Amino acid sequence: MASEHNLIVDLRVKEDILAYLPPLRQQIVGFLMRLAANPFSPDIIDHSIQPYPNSFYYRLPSGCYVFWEIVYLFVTPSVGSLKGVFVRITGARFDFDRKTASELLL
Amino acid sequence: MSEQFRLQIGAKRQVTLPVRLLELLALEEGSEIQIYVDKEHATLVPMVSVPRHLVSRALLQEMESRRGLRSSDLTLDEFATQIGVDAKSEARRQEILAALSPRERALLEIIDESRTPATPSVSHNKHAPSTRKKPAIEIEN
Repeated sequence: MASEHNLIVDLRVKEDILAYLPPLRQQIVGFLMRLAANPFSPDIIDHSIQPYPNSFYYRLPSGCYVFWEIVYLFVTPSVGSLKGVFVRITGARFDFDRKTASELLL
Repeated sequence: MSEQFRLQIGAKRQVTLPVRLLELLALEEGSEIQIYVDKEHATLVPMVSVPRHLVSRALLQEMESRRGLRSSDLTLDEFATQIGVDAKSEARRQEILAALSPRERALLEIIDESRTPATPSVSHNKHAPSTRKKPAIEIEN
């Protein structure tokens, strides 16, 4: 299992969520803790979207999306071990700009 | 070849779309359209419903541009402290949640969803969805 030290957060995520109400901030931190515990847990991976290699996002019940990347510090991570694997949170945002399927598929 | 249509707004602000317009835009009853207004001009764009778990390309690109380790990155504890969340009590909450069955967790998520505001607290957010009632559009048979 990974520890909290294996999860780091882009400074801009703080700016993303400072305007959010405390219950939502707590929900986001709770999800980050689940990610820190095991970023490859079926509970998370099975409900996440992977738009690019090592890049994921997950929709929280509130509708807020959490984005992260997996960073491998070793070239060949050993099977079943999370040593050298970092989760880096890149964003926590709502998507009010989502408009059309054609925009998604461009 | 472009075509023009002249439509009249009827009672209760309703508009009847000509069959030819529906054919050109591959629209049918139940389809959605969006109208972009720019000063005195408007553009009508056919819409396609998409699953709500997919995010827009613009947001995805912005998040992708943030990839890569930075010296300013925060640890989870630093992050939680700076946004005013008590990491220890949240960790305890997560421990309790982990002990629950998947069904119990799913029920809690539903409760959380009803308690957590679906939008940020910023009231002047220009991207917030409009609550104005849309006028009906009647499709010609």
